[in-house]
Amino acid sequence: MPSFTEPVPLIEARDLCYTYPDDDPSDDVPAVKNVSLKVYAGEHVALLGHNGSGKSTLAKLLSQILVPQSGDLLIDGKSCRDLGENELFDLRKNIGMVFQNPDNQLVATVVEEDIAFGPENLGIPSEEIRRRVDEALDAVGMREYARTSPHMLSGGQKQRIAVAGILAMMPRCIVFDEATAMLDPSGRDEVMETACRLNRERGITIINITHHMAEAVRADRVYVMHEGSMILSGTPREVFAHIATLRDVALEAPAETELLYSLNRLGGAFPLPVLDADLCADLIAQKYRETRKNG
Amino acid sequence: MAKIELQNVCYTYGPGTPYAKIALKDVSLSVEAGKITGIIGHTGSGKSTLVRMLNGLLAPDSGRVLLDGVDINADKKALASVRCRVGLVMQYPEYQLFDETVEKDIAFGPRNMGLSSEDIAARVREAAGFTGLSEEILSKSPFDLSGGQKRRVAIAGILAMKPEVLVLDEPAAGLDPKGRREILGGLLRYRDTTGAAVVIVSHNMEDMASYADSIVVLRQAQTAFEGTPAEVFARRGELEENGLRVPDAVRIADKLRERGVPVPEEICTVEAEAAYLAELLSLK
Repeated sequence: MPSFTEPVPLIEARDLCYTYPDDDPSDDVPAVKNVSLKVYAGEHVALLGHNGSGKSTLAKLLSQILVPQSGDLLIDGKSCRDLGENELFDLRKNIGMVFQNPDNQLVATVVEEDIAFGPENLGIPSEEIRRRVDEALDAVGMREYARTSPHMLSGGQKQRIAVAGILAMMPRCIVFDEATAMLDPSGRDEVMETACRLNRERGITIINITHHMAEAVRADRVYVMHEGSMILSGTPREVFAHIATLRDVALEAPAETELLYSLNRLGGAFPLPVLDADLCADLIAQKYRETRKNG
Repeated sequence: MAKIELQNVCYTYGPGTPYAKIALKDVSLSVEAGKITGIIGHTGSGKSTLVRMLNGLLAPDSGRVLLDGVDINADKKALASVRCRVGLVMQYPEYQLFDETVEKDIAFGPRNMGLSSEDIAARVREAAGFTGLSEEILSKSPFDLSGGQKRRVAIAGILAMKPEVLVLDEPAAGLDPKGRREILGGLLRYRDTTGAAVVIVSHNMEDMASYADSIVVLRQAQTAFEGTPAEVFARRGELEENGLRVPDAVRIADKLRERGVPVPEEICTVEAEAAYLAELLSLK
């Protein structure tokens, strides 16, 4: 019985399982095993895991690109099981995805037409599409490129156009599936800033799948997957306290925590985790002054 | 003498059209055998064009590309042998896998070089070793592998040709931290074993700090500056103007220096920083 004070999650996964179909069913390994999680409206969630850990499969289950073999997915508390194709189609509008390779997700020869592609396919009236395209361009700071050809843009700009194309469909949640992996550092910042701003200013729920620990630090909650299962979840501070576990599953902690962890292994006694460079430097500087005083 | 050298190379895409774009402007660069040279630069700074110059996929509009002192574009018939000697791993090379088994895919290059089947088999095993591919994977279809494993197969396919110059465009993009270290560690071993010159293009400043002997920074189709990782990462302002960043360890070192902790400029990796600080703080 849910308590009355607890809000209904935007997305709730209950024991989701998914195995990719194979010619030889005997060596089928599930890509996602009994994964449960709740994502509330307006949250910024990071999903970590090594290559092949099941992150992208989970993302596709959450956005209903894949249908789980067992378990249930609830959107606004409403089960996706036993839904017809039409009802699923409506539910899918809630969640948009931005993929890794910017060149694989732009379809038109002019930026504004690319952004209009989604709403056109939803059968939105054209004046409304015009309004949405302009608004989406403003939201990602790309208004001046409305009539540019996408191939003239940098990687970061292309990803922002991909985000705008999703925004024009007015989803409540955007899944970034390693959307910054191809980008140079400033492109990565552009896309992360855009995601965080949409989250902050418009309350759009963000699920960011990433290998960059510095991005995960900016999330409200962090989930870590390993071999199809969810092995850690919590605030960034809670998750990055498990640095040994993270290393076991081919991941790492942000540089500040990695540095202090290494120093602790060499005899230091710094509190962990530390996710902020200033705090990290303060702690080391304090220790340095003590050492000089005593030595 | 430089293993491979660019002398005043210029290149323009679509010359004479309204879309003409200068990709390289008077770029000179020299890469030594046995060294890892990193190339960094903002999107569109000319990195990928430069990489295509190194094995003659693109020929300069003016300027020369010299391999062991010989202009590779002087004799177009010799380009096939240049491409055996200069191995190029492009971005997302896993999209180029095509054969039935991993073993056959890796063997494609050496087979086309006309080697004997024993030689080919030995080279496939050796290349698989450098990239950390196990024996049992060799008989699988490359299309049944994870993204990280496919990347290794694609890189092994080039290593099996034993290039004297190995050029890689973002070899570790999209891999998890451990996968990244394994791939780059394998390239290091390849360099140590063969003495090859290795050129790596990357947006990952941490990887550059850990693995490169020297770094070249490209800016708007030109070489902005170059040097050891420490020299390059000491020029923070210029890097940031170019849309680049310093590695995390350098960012933390800056904060430490602001607080009066003496940290030498040479330190650009978290490992080196930890070792130095442990000494400084007399940790035991």
